[in-house]
Amino acid sequence: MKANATDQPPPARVPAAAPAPADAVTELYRAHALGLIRLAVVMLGDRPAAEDAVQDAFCGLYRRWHSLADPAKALSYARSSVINNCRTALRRRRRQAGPPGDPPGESAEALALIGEEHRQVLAAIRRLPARQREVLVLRFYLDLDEGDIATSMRISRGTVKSTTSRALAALGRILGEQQS
Amino acid sequence: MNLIEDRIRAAARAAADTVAPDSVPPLELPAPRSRRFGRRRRGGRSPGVTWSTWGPRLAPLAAAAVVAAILITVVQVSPPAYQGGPDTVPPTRAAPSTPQGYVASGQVPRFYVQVTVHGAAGKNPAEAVVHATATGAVLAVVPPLAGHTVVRVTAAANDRTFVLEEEPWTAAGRAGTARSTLAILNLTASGRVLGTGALPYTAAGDASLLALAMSADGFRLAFASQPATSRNEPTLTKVTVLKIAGGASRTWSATGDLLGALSWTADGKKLAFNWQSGQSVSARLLDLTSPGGSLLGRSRVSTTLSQEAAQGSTFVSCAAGSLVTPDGTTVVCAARLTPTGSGVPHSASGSGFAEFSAASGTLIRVLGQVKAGTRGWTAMDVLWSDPSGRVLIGAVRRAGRTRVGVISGNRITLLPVSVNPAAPDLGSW
Repeated sequence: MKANATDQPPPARVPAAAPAPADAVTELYRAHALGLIRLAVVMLGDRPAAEDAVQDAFCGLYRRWHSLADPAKALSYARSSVINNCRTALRRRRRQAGPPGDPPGESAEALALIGEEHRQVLAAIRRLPARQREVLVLRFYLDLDEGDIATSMRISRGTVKSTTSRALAALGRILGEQQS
Repeated sequence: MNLIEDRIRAAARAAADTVAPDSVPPLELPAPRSRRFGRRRRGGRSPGVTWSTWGPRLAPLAAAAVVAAILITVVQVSPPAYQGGPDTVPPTRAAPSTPQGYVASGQVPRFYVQVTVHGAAGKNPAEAVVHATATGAVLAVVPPLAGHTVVRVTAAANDRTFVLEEEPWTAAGRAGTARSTLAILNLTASGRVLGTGALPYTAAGDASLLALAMSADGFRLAFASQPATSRNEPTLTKVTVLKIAGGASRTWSATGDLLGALSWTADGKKLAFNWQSGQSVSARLLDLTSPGGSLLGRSRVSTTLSQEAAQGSTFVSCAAGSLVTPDGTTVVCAARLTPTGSGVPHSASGSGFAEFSAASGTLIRVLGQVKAGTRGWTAMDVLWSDPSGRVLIGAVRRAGRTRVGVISGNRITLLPVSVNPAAPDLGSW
């Protein structure tokens, strides 16, 4: 006779040991660093600065691990931190700007891979105000919905909508100027 | 499907795909912070290291007294790193190998000030924190005025006088067009706070500061500004030199964009700035003995920041703004070095701190040079120079992390400087 599952004594409910913060953060980094560095590269156009932004986000996550209300939202927290760090890096770059054109950390190899048409679009995106740029990247690169964008940027859904609309209009104008 | 949306998607994917899956650097987590350290940072600060009484600097009499004390100190204290010309700088072979060695020999300043945000960036105002160069130890914490945040710091050559730029700040964030205020910070010989005072600076109209630099003698302050709310391009850029005592100023202006940092020669006669013209950026030297007027008319091009090296085999391209060395002979920047002539785009084949003749604009030498293929540093930015550019403090990067180090010859000696990419700056020496 097939044993009924209920015939067996239920397994003791031993809570799984929570991983140490360093292990948990390192595991999260292994799983998501590539995507987040790519996100930061799109935002900044600068590989070294992008890696710094992501490293710093995970260091911050590690420092605050014990105060996270919901560790399941750690990725969301890290993504918000990366966006924040990108914003700060851009602000700092405006103050310490080097030669114009390609962002400082963009290698010639990367530039060759991207191609002229895409570089024009990326340059136009980087001319937008920070919030507009972030909304476009989250919407059209990460394909996040309005709710997730609002959470990541800590703004309302309505602001996401209006900012997206303004960003697309501004981008159209900039690209139009470049072609005329 | 919307054409613009498609173009955004395609361009973003192309940029993202430049990051190969096997090229992600390992995560470097910080050492756990001790509870004692955390409490001090979050809560009440140790009286021994904190200058928390900003009230006095608002009182005109107190401020005047502080400024007077600072000026007296500036006159009396000989700048340790600016005492001689190129001949007095020890040869590279004798360069120390530790931060303590560089500080003990007087080759680099003893103190630096870093703009630091405690806690999450954007949620707290930034403070100015005084550190010891040799150890990185926190010597003093200088909070901003109530309702302000520190955004920038510049240093005189005497290792004791700094100027802080502050902007109004609320929990919702820093107002981008808010008027800046300037405050002077003077340190004792041991790096503690001797005094602070408001400077006689009032932003004209809606001017937004782009760069700030104190003269070597600490008597004058140079800053570049643009109208913050201007939507027109190109924009009128002004460079103003302000006498700290008395507030007299002279202004030069031009239409266009000034990039990067300002830097002074030690004699106070020249101010270096980077100017963008089309796709070219050059380092220019402004004649400060001129009475003001045209910024471009009263300055001359010293060197272009992207050029073929004399050997014809390497293209030198500055990765960030340049500085003029205090003796006025050299312009230095962190640069990428790319081989030319193959006709194939290369990734940067190396990097280093490129030094150009301020007179002829030609490449003189490259410090901290690292060739491609080695697991070495990448030069990111130059932060400070000794009189002749033989010893530099600069930002370098390896394995995904930015560090600050002393560069002498081809040696890079890391300094115990905490680098937070989210912080507004790396430090001012």
